[in-house]
Amino acid sequence: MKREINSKDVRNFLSNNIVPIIFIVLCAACFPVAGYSPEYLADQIITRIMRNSFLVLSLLIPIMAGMGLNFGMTLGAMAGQIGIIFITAWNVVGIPGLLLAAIIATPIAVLLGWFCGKMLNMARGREMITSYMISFFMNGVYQLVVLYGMGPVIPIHSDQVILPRGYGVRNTIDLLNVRKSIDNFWSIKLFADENGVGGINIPILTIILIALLCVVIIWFRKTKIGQDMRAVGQDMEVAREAGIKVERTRVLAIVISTVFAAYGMVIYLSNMGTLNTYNSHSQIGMFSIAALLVGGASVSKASIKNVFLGIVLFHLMFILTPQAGKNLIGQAQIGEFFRVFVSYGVITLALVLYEIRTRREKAESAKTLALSQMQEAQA
Amino acid sequence: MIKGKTAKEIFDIRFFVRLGCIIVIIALAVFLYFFGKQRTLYVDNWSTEIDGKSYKAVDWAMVEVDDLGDQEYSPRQRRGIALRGTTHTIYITTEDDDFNEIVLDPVEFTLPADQSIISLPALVAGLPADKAIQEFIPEPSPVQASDTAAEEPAVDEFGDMSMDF
Repeated sequence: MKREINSKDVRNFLSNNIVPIIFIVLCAACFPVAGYSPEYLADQIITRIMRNSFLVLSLLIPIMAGMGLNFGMTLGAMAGQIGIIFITAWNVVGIPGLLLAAIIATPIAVLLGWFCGKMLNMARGREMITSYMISFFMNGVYQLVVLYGMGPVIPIHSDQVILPRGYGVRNTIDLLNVRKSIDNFWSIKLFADENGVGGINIPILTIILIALLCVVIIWFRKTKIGQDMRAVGQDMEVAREAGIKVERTRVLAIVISTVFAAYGMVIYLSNMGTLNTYNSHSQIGMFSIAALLVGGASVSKASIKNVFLGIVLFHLMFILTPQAGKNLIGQAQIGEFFRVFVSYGVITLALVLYEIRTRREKAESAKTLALSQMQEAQA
Repeated sequence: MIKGKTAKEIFDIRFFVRLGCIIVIIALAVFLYFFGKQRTLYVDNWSTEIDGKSYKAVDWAMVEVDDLGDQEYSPRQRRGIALRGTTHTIYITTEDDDFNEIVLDPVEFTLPADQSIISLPALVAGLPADKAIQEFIPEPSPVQASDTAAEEPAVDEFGDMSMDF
């Protein structure tokens, strides 16, 4: 039987997908003004999907466990950066270098994730703001270690990494030895001219890695621990009554997310080719979360589909707005301000919408309950 | 014992599987370190003196290290080659006074430091690799403009938003 679409369905669809719809409209408006060719945009979007997917995917598991958006993924990014600093100092190059960076980052990420998970268990119900504050706090510890510990305490003596004064890591580290190692290991070029110039570069190995992580996440949801996480995410008390170790499950969700974020950061940095030692990690947390929300995810619900849609829309806007601003007003800076405003705005909007939706659902369920009680009383 | 567990309960099969995994990962990390570490070898064709004996620069030589491609050397030439791994082989072709080409036996060597220098005249004269190769210590240079340039804040794909925090 065919169901008719009524105005309520349309309203529900719009309210559930308001953020992606706003971004689609914005991108559609900016596209002709920016004047980029579709081929260039496709190449840029593919590059950015490869660069950011792993990081954004790392956010899914804590959402599944009902812990909201894991701002603590910054901790994983720090672990990844420490791995990258070490391999650059040791001059371990190529894919072996990146693998070694991931191995170095793993125990650090596990430790930081465990710490973050424990803290979040203590601040139950306020996970997002707590993880946000933890990321600031750990950023201070990271800066202390990297700025003063590396050199005299942690023996790193590479001129490429250490400041000329003999301690502390440089603001910027050139990752020439690992740059695009994964992307270039196996890639194909589409629509290039006969000289191999232009076209769209498709990094097959990176796609395989990202696809593998997607498969792992889908498989993980079906495992015992994945089911436990979903149960904890739906109702902690019911899950506890069912014999699930709620605290342990929540810590595990954060640890897994932090480790994935560390690997994501290694992939991200290898693609970028430059490490911004003191800023990269704090920015990446914010933008990964913004990208996920742009894809239509909420604080309590996110899927792989949201990840990819979010990355495409968010980065499309990042590419288009500066050029659109430049072409319209003659100043690319307008576009820069715009995208800063939009990045924070979308997170705020998503949080507000989530709160409104939760309250509405609570009010509706209270109304239904009251109605059924009234009917029972009348009967 | 931990939380009332006996030694048998702690050191069960799961413990040893986990221990085995950790050992394998550490071994993999060590392997990756040696396999992926890049070192620089300078092939030097300057006249030199080793153990009190002088070796004159070779007039012409074709040198290849680890199948990385031939390079032609004239006197007073020095080139750096980036090498990965632990053991390397150098192939040298040179000529005698009558311009007859001589292919020398390949010489295997290990690099003693991150930056090493190998003397081509010493190798052509038949000196063993461990005598012909030594650590390369570049002369310390004053702080260059590039050092300070590296300290400029880097802007990544999101622009410079560090001031937002």
